[in-house]
Amino acid sequence: MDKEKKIKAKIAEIAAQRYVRNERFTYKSAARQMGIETSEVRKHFGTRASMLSYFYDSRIYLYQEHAEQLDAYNDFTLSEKLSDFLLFLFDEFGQHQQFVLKTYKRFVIKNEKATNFEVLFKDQVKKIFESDGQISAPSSLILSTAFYSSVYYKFHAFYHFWSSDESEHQQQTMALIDKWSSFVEEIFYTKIVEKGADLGKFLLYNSPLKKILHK
Amino acid sequence: MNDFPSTKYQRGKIFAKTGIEVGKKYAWHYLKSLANGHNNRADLHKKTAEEVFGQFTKLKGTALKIAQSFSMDQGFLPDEFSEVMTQAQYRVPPINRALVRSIIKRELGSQPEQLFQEFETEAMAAASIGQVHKARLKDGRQAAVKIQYPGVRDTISSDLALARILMKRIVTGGSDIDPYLEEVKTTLLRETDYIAEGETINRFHKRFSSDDLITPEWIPELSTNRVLSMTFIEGVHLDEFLASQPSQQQINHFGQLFWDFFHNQVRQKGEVHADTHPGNFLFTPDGKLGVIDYGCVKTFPQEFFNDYLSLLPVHLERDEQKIINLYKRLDVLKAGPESNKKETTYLEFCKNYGYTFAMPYLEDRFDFGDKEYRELIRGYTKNAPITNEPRGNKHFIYTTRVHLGLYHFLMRLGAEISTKKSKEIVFDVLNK
Repeated sequence: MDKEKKIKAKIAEIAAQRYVRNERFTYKSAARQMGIETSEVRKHFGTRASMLSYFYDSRIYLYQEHAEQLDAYNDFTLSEKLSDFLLFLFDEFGQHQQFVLKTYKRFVIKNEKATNFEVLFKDQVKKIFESDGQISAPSSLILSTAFYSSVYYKFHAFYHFWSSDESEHQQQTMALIDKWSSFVEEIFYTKIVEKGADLGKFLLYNSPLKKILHK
Repeated sequence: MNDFPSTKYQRGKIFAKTGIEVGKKYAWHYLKSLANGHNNRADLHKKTAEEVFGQFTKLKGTALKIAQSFSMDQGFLPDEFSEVMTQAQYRVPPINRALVRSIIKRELGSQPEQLFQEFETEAMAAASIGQVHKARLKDGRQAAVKIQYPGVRDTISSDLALARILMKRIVTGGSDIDPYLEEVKTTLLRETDYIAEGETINRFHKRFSSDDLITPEWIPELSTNRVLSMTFIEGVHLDEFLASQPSQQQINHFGQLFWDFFHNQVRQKGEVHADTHPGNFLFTPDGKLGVIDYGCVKTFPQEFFNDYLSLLPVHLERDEQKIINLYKRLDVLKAGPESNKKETTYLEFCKNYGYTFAMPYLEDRFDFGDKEYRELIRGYTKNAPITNEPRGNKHFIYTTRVHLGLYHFLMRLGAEISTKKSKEIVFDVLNK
């Protein structure tokens, strides 16, 4: 995460806090809390909405930074990488829960155009899948733009689950993400299609029918 | 985590499936024994047990614990179940590394790297409702960090309700298993409370930590309801100890420590470590016995405790009327042996089994390595006439678990023990 992104992420977090207290917070109040000039805030964000929606984009940047710093990350299996990503986002959401509950629909779901968050989210998921060496060849055929979109819509479903999860520390959401990730991994690591193709090929070349035909 | 079925419906399906499998096997066996005219249940039990526990492990802790509590020679589940179950305990699917990090972050507020000098994200052992990780504290001490699977507490009640359906299939007649299940539920819910366990760790540390015995110390600042940190105890488990070909002297040394730990708990009449599973005991390099895992400790009602201890003198005396009275008080006998044949069978079994249990106290020393004795105990467990019917005070679940666990441990160890002092302890406690 470069310096500019870091500053912008910090401003977005402060804006998120101020927004919960007062939806019409000013640039000036955000700048004062951050300890910088109002002009600098204006330099990064043209509108207050862009400031607030950057909160979501920056969660992905923060995740990327977290993953880079994690020594064991490269050894993670598909399910571990997926759950790490999703759990990180919900951890972040949890720390700004009121803000997220108030604005998720506006900044993430109800947008006709793909938001930055959506683009970044799908890119990250794509990276997770494409960098995985254990995915079986036939399963990898599923990987497409449509697939990454479906994961993104799944994330909205997780959001709904999370937003009404009353268990302590939203444990049920953790459990759900864990189970979902394990399930996805199972699908992608399965060798069943590969084995089936192998068997089919064998039968094709060695079937009694073929021998009869060649006689 | 691969297969943790999340909804009640899914878990219900697993139980239903298991129930069906069990039913099918017994039906098949019944037909076969009708045809052949002989009865070889052991194979069948084993097959059934494997299937049941294959399904049980998917429910992670809850069901496993239920099965464990019911199995240890409760007299109404076949012996083969406990064998398969012991293996099952180690097959519980692990919590993945990303989730481990996330749990630590949520529970303790920071990433493991910030809280510990070192933290191994790969678990070193499976616990029934979570798993244990090795770590090094900032002050350099080694620690064991137990992490609970998220949401496990919420699944206990529904798992138990489902387990009841399964248990009803295995347990014969209209026997009332509810008080037992209720007892298991209370214990399980308590096991999910890691703060309570931390406090127990402290109490046991104060009571038992000595030159001979080592128990962990609780680290409250790194513990919450779902994360439990304690000091790590270096040592090996029973199997590893035996594989190192120890001398008979070393074996007897550890056996004696184990035996004395049990009787010191009796003497103090306080809480009892009720999970006498070999995985909960360590042989340390400096000759100490390490006692770990305080999730399942029990305090028995005074009356039951005294009655249970009275089994020893009463069996040693071999006074039949006293034996009958005591077993009636303990709800094992429902009526006098004169009333029907079933009660006579029970009495005969109790008399012989009880006496066998009292045998180590007959002389001043006893050799648990004696093969004949081992066969004798095994024979009773295997050929009990009372399989499939729960009897006895509900606290029996834990006393027999502790007691049998103790005997099995010493038999596997092959230790020769001095029992003189321990006998005095039991009589002292009873005469007070």
